[in-house]
Amino acid sequence: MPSLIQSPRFLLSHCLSPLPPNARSGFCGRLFHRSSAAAAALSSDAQTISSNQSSSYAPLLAPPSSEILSMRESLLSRRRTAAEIAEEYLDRLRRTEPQIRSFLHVSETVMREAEEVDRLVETGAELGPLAGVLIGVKDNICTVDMPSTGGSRILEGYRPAFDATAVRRLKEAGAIVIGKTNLDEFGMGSTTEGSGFQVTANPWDVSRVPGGSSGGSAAAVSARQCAVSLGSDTGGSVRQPASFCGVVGLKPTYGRISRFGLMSYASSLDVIGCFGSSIIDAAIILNAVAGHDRFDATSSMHEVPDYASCLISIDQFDSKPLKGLRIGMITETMGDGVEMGVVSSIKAAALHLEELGAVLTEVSLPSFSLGLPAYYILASSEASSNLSRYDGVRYGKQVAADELISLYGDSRADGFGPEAKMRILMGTYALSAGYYEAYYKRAQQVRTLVRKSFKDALEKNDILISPAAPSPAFRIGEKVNDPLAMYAGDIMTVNVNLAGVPALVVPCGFVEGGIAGLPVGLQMIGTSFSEEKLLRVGHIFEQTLQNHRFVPPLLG
Amino acid sequence: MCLRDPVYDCVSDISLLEPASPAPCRPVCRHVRALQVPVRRHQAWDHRCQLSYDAEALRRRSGSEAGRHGAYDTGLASVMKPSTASGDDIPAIKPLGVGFSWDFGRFEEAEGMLRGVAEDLTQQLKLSFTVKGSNRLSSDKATLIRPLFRASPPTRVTKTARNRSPVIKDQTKWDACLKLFVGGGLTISGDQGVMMALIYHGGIRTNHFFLNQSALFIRTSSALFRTLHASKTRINAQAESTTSTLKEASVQATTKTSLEQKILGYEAIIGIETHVQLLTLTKAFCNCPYLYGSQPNTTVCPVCMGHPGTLPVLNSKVIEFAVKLGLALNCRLSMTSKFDRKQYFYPDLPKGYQISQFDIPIAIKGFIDLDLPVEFGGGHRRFGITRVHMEEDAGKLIHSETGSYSQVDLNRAGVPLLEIVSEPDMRSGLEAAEYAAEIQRLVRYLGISNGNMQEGSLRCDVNISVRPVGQSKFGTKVEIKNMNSFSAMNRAIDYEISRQVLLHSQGQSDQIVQETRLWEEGAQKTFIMRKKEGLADYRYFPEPDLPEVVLTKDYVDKIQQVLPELPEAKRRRYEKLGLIMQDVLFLANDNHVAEFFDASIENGADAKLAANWIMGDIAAFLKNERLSINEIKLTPVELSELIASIKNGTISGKIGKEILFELLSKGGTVKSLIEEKDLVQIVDPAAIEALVDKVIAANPKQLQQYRGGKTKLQGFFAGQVMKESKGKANPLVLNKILTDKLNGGN
Ligand SMILES: [Zn+2]
Repeated sequence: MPSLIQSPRFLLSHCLSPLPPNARSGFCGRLFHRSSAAAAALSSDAQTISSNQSSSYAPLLAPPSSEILSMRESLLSRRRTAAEIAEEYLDRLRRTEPQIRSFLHVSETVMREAEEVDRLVETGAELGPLAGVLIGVKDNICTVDMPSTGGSRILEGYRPAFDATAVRRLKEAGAIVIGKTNLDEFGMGSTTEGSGFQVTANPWDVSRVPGGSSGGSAAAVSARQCAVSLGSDTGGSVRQPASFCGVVGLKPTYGRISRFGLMSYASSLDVIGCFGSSIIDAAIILNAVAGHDRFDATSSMHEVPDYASCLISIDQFDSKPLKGLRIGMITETMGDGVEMGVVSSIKAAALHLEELGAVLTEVSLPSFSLGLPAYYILASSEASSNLSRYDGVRYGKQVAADELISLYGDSRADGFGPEAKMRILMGTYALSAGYYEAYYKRAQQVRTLVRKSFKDALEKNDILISPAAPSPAFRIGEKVNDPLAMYAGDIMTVNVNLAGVPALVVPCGFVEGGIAGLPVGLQMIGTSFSEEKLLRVGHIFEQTLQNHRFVPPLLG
Repeated sequence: MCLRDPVYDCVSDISLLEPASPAPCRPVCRHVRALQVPVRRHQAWDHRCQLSYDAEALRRRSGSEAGRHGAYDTGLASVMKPSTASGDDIPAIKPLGVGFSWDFGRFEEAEGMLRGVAEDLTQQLKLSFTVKGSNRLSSDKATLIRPLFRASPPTRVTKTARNRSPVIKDQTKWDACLKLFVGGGLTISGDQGVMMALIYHGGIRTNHFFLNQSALFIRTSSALFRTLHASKTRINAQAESTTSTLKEASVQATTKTSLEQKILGYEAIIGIETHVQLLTLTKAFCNCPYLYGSQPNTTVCPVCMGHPGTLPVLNSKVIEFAVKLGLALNCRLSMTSKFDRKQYFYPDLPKGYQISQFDIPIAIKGFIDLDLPVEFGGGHRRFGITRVHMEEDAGKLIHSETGSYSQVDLNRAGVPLLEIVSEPDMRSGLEAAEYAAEIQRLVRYLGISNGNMQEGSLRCDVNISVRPVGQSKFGTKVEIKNMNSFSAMNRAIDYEISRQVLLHSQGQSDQIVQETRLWEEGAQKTFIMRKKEGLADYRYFPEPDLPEVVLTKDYVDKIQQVLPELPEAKRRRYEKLGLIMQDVLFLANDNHVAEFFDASIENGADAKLAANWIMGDIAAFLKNERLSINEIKLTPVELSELIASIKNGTISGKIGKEILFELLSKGGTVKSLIEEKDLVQIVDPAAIEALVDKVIAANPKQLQQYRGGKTKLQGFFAGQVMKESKGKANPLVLNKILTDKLNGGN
């Protein structure tokens, strides 16, 4: 399958040392020499997996490799300029955007910033680890001098005075923000249909949703409109679209990445996450943005390991690289209500992990089904409070009125979409006197149960696996009339947010649908601050997964 | 002290804002929309009291089909108003608690949804809980609700009418405009501006009945009040409590007796909520400094303006100050305390909620001791403290002269406050005012606030109810605000007590309703500001952006160790030094004065003499020069030196006074002044004898007269000798020798 992004990919066999100076030595060499011997050793495993799959396209394909590292290599070897690479992305963006509509705003300064990177290359100055990397930023993450609307009409045209800490750190590492990606209003939704501005389409089948709420970020990476992107995950908003769009999605531990600059939806659940077309890219982004921030009291001081350097190159694998790893498959996520195709993809993936040496068991999380109602109560409660600041007084939409009540009422009635209003109402109820004990308090108790059940399960297992969503991408408009069904779709992901633990979604297979099948993601869940382990396992999984190429046909 | 995430349990994983240096704010002015709210001011205030909606009523309402077509029940009418007719038979409703227009269908939906969700939880948990007073959702109802979940397409806003009021986008114009409304000639300072506007408005809405009643009281006591008012006019803030207390003594005494007669047979129950603004370098949750009197919206940042994506980070000084005050008020400290959000809509509240503390305040169950002024009979009192909690201040509204719009100044938004809630232990205006004065003393002693009432650094809201003596049930509580001095508090409370007692005694106690009244200095009476509609539902819930604060014993002990000597301890110590109560109260009133006094006696000065000097000549000097005691050049060491020099006879008292004024205005040391001016007292009898001889010799005529029986002339001789000695002769020695000479020598 010819791909637009071939050129950087093929460069990987040359491994110079394109790494940032901060001690990642050795990592590149181990990573990028794909040993044919190792591949041969694994080929029998691969056969087993592919036999489970219905998809017949995609013959033996190279595993995904890092867009970031290949770009860096191109720059340092002077093979290509940052401007050329940026131009290529922008071209692709312009070509695909009319169908995908993943961006709410595209930066006008991309070329200028890329040229700046080239000047640095010329002078031989030290390049940041993300020099020239084009990154999409979910529109609920603040960027200075660029609109940041949170997907809401109430913030139409609002330009923040500051960069979110995550964005600032990316920029400091040399990244270029290519634009702001679409989302369900303030992150409330699972399809991106809840955006106040536009509906984003899934690059695998433009009649389908990309998932949500970070649908724009996932679709943009999937369609290679940008190399990597930032999203946010409150109840699955990174993982579900990653699964729908066939990209890697990482939801880190709560507090791992500063929320400063992320428009709060549910403060105790919100996490900034990242998308990439490979695990390495996700790891490099996490490296850049993770860590304590004095502007966010809930950000953790937990040490930040070098996530990228712990990834093992495929030629270093023996035949059982996951030997002894205890993997628990969550029983509750594989039963009723989960599409057969999804179940068989996950089972195949589990089998693949087993082939790699992992010990697979089934785990039951008794509180699993409680998570959904508890999540909706907590998230709505916090949302009802967090959205109070959008009153039309200081910024954002203001509807002219003679009296204060109408100023508030009309500005908010005009500005918020139906989903936001619904959740504000629900949350307002849940926090009201006489209701608080029954709803909010009870939900907090459930949350404790959920945390405990995850803790117990993760003591017996190193990681837990489940689907990231009960179905592959569904059609645009299919579920808008059935919000409860939509909410139910979050069952796979919300518990992880309630527990605050990290989870990684890796594309693992396809089910029928669209012209080339629809991707399915495998969710891997670990203990708090175990991103390193998740990425390592995800990387081995990704490198050894044969016969799948997660590049949407749109780019073919 | 460490911080703990209540959900994720990570201990000391979280940082505090470094309070050391307030960072210069990034210019955010371009993001400050002229902060001008087009409102009619009364609607603004109506709104504030109504914005908490009555959840119970809402539930009843949404359950009744009839309600959908008009006819609100009372609870609802207070929180919702139908907007302009939309042609639909279902009126559009504005639920203020939610802050946007919506119709009832959606309420049912939301509630149904929530209940469905909770049902789910209940069933799964195999627990049963019922929402207070409501039936479970029946299956019928569930199907009824289902179709309502038809999501309408995202609200597309077509065109909104241009804002009719002048919204100024340009910063310079904004400044100019502010100058016009705030600065130029018209002196609206701080809260006063807002309050004046409120009073004006309150006056309009005042019930006639109350107006008549108030008139009655004004007549009886207006003469007194006028005197008081005049004396108050030019008292500067710092000296407020020191100087005015004495001046007002007689006035208050009279008020007291007249009040006592009026309330015979009744008892007033008074509780006070005091807000103390903390003297931290930066605000409670961001890096902005706060300086009273800054140009509007200049000490703001995205955090304190509630911009999207911003988060609060606690200033650790706030905790330190709260612990200090908690200890000083003899409270029990909560070793783990958390913050909560108090939610309501108002333009001066940028986030739509105030970060406060609800169920776990940092300190509870304490008390404060104080001594009533001697002029009012004195006496020691102990008043209970219910709780002390931390919270952030809101901004200020500045109402335009025309009343057509209001402007928001967010400089004060986010400034840390401690709210002190007293037990309802006070029984009179005097006790209440003295309680407030003691709180002021305490925070000044602790150095946690300047306690300035005029600037609003110390604000008291007073709750008053009256009941017949012997009745155990409390009467209806009325709240009074807007008193910006202690004497105003005293008068406002006594006025309010009289008003309520009169209503009681006339059998009209039902006219006393739960309401907030404002004290108006000009009229010397309280006016109704707003009626309270049931209990406000602020929908408190734990602030998820801030971790819990976990105090360690070490941390508390360290603070306890550095706590200064507090007013009560000082007074008891001064009493033991043998000072009379009036002196004790004067000295302990101002921490700077007390420090000065303490330093003087530490240097060996006699307590009584030091007190006399401080309360006499030094206090007079301070008053004349409008200085505070820590601004003068005289040091406590020199004062004790001065006192010692007089005591040991080096200089005379008269010369002592001269030296004092020299020291006060120019500084220097007592020793050098004495030497420089050759002021050492002459005590040598021989030297004095010589002088006496000289004078006697020079005045033979007077000597003759003296000896002829006109003994009064001794004074003349003494004066002459003094003059000759340039005032340095020791008067005792001089008189002794003089008497001898006049009588004895021939
Ligand atoms: Zn600030």
